[in-house]
Parts: sequence; C-alpha cells; structure tokens
Amino acid sequence: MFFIGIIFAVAITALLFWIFTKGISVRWYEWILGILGIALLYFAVINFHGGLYEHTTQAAWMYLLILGIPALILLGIPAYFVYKRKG
Amino acid sequence: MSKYHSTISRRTFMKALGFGAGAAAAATAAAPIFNDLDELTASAPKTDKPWWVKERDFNNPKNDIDWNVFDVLDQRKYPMVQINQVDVQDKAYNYIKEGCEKKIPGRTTRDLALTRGIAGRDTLMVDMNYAWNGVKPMGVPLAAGTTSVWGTWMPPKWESTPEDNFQTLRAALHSFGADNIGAIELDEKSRKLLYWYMHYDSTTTDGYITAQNGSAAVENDGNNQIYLPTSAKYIITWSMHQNYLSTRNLLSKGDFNGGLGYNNPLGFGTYRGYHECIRVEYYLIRFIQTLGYKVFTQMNRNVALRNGSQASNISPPNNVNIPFGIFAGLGELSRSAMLMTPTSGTMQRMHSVLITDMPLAPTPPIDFGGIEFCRDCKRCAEVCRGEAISMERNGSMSNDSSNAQRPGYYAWRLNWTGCKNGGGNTDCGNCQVVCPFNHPNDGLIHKTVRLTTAKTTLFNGFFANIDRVMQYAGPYSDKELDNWWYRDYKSYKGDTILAAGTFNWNL
Repeated sequence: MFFIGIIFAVAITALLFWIFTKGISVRWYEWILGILGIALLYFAVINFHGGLYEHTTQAAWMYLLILGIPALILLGIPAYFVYKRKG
Repeated sequence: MSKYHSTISRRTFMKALGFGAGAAAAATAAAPIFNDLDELTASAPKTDKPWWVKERDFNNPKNDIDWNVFDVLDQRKYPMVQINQVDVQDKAYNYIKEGCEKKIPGRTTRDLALTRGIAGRDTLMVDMNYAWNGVKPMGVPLAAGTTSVWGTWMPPKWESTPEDNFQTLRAALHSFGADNIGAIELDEKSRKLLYWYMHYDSTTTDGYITAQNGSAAVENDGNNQIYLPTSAKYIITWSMHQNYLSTRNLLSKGDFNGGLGYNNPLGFGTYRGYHECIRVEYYLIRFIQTLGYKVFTQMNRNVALRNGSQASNISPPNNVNIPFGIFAGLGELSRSAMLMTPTSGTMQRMHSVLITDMPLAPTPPIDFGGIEFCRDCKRCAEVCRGEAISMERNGSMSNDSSNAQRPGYYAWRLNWTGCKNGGGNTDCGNCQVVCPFNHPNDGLIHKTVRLTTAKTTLFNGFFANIDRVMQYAGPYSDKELDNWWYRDYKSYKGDTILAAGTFNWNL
C-alpha cells in the first residue's frame, strides 16, 4: 500500500508539473472531476491489492470493476474536454 | 513463485503496476493454471532461503568430514563435561537477586517473572494440568551447586500502581501472543459474572475448594464449590486472535444454509486458537505468581485431565467467558453470541479469565457500533446450519431456560439445541467465519467500514450487502484448498513465526 501511494504521488506530481509547464487551462469542474477520478482510482487499486492479500479474489476483482471503471470515466471526461479545447 | 489463491507478491504487483497500471496488475494476479499435481508441486518454493544462499550436495556441509572417523555420538564415551559451577551460578543469581531487590531495570521482579513464566521446557509438559489455584511459580535456584531445583528463592513481591500493574500484564501477554486484553475490578454488580460455583470467604487467604454437599471434595466433579479470598477481586482477561485464513479454509460448498457444507479439517484455526490460549494462560499464571500474587483459574478442568478422566464433567455446564470480555472492553456481544471485536470481528477464540489479588486498573466496556451492525447484517444467521441464530432485527432482554443463557441482558439468544444439532461446538464454525468484521485491513475498504459503522448506522445494511455481493468469506475451490500446501511463504500472510516479532525477515 505504501508503494502504491508513492506511485500515485509521483504520477500526480508529474501530471501537475505537465499541466502547469505547458500552460494548459483546466476549468474548475474539470479539476473536481479529475480529483474525484484519481481518488476513486486509488481506492480501487489499493482495495484490489488488499483483496488479493486477503485471499478474497472475487472481491478484489469486483473492486477493480465497480470502482476502477467509474474512476476511468471520471478521469476521461476532463481529459477529453482539455484535449478538445487544446486541439 | 507459487501464487496461492491468486495472491501476488508486492514486488510482482508493483512491477505490473509500473507497466500498465490496473490492467497489467490485474493480469499478473490471474490464477495460475496447473494441469496436474506434479506441476503444482513443482511450482512450490524449492527453498525458504534467500536467493544468495547456496545449496551444497547432500552429506557435504561446509565442515570437512572424514567419514572413516565420523560416527554416532556415544555419550557414554563422550559425556557432557561436569564442572563445579557453584561460583559462576552464585554470581549470576546474586546479580538477579540484587536487581530484584533494588528494582534495577532489566532484572526487576517483573523481568524475572517474565522469563520464569516461560522457562522450563520439561515442567511445561507436566504443569499443563494445573489446578484451579494455579501452578507452582518458578523462583531462582540460589542454593549453591543446584541446576534444576527451582523455587529455593523467590524474588520480593512486585508492587506498583494498578495502572502500571495492568500495563505489566498487558506487555507480558502481548509478548506471549495475545493482543486483546482487559481487566475487571469485581464489585457488587460485576461479581455476578463469576461462575455459580465460585464464592468469597473472608476467612481464607489462599482460597479452598469443597464439595457442594459438604463431603470431601472430588476435584474433577463439576459440582465443587470454590471459595476465593476477598482480596482476589481483580480479573485479567484476553482473547486469542484466531487465524483468519486457516479458519476460512473450513468452509465448504454444500446444501446447508448459505450453500455451505460440512467443515474442512484444513480449517484448523479454531483448534489452534484454543491451544494457544491455554499456552498463554499457563505462562501468565506463572508470571503472576512469580510477581508474588495469587491466581485462580476459571475452572478446574485440568484437574480432570490430570486424573485421567477426561470424559467426566471437566468443566461446569455454564462455563462462559464471553461476559468477562464484554465487561472488560474486549468487544461487543454479536448476533451469533460470540465476542465481536472492533478490529478482528468474531475471529477470536476462547478468551481466558484469571482471577487474582494483583491490583489492576479496570478497562471499560466499549462501543464500536457492533450490535447496531449486527441488527442489519445477519450474515452469520444466514449460514447457520442449525438455524440457531436469530434472524430477528432486534435482540431481547428475556430468555427461557432451554437456551442455557440467563435473562436480564439484551442479546440475540442463540438456540443451543439448533446449534448443536447443526454441528456447533464440534463441527461447525460457519457463523464465525463469515462475520464482515473479521476482515484484515489490507484492503482500505475495511478500515472505512469500521470507522463509518462506529459513527453512523446509516450504511450498515449497505455494507452487509456489499459483503454478500463481493462474496467475502466464501468457500475456497478445491484447487485453492490444495494450493495451501504449496503456498509461497514469503507472500502468504496467514503464517507467523512464533515469538519472532513482525520484522520483515524476507528478501
């Protein structure tokens, strides 16, 4: 769980660095969706990982499914808007 | 590396995560396919040594051996050397004695009591049949030249505040292997927790046992009456955290409620819990006695074992220990009539109860929303083979005498007839295994549920449904059960190396 946290922290830092150095404009609701998406994705990954450690395989996969997919959708929406604006 | 129950090691998981986040990690976790037993066996770890340790040929250790000379060790020919150790021993024991008398850290009475509680490989085997008033404490053999006669000198009594005394017992118990510990100071109310055959007698200082009818006491008769000195008004109680994974192995698929069947012998966690609790109890009895206090056990069961009459009435019929755990704050009383703890649910086994005259600061009862969760959950009742666990939303204050439970407290009453008919006590542990509060906190969701449940009842039903949907604590497949024998020790979290601590010894 510690290392997953590190990976997420590095990834988020890199993303923010990229956004600010490239001068990409992100609207307030896109920030909210993005933060929610990252939080949900983190929750999905650590529970997937925890479920495997607990030997509850089905539960682990279910977490990836029911939390991971909404997380990707939440992340995808602002990414699409930003891409469209930039393009 | 074997992947027992699709478990992946942290290293493998992180590697997968690095390549492609969730999807790659998920792919790595996929269950390995074994076509036959040979393949399965071959996947098991070859050695539990680190990779940089080399293996040598059989009969060829690093020490050179001359096989023409090397032979069995005939101790008649090569006996252990006998030297006069009087001087060495006296100096060593005087060092201990000085420490006890001057309370020097590391060699105080409680330090000595800790090691004396555990010491004695041979006496352990004999003393395990200890009687209701404890076992012989171990002193220090100060007599010159003695090496095996214990108890010739006892350290000065350990005296401290009740708070520090409780901390002393808690620290000792934790090192023995128990992690859920509480204390009760008996008063007019809490004395009602004591067993019906236990009484106080202000005229005795050591306590005594007598037959109920006034005749000579027969030690293995459950009708014996135990009289305690009034100073023995403190109770130390603890529960053993039962092994979650090995207990889960007992679940099988079948036609009983919840689609479960008879219990698999591989689910040995229950018996392990009982065993460890008695071992810890033995250590603690000698620990407390060496501190200079009296200890009385909850029952005279082991006297019966000593007398070789195991089939007789070893323990009184209402030998209950859960109320002590409730009053000492180990947990709440669950729907399944088990102790339910905030951190590991009902995955507890046999919390032990010792009565002592060592002043102990009591620990209060606790509230973590357990009973409220039980109201909405009912997972245990759904899988009860004997339909003995109530499905009613609320418990009751009353009870009829057929259920071996007393009235006057709020609870869901267990139908013991149904429980025993369903295999309870001996062959069924389904209700214990499925409690949603059992889950370890490796998944953050369990911490979230525990925290939320303690603060609001709003999501209790939702959480119970999630537990059902996710099929937590369902039976393992045949393959998964068989894989237990080939598990990867480095990633499997169900084993402990006793008393070694929780350092990461793996590489």
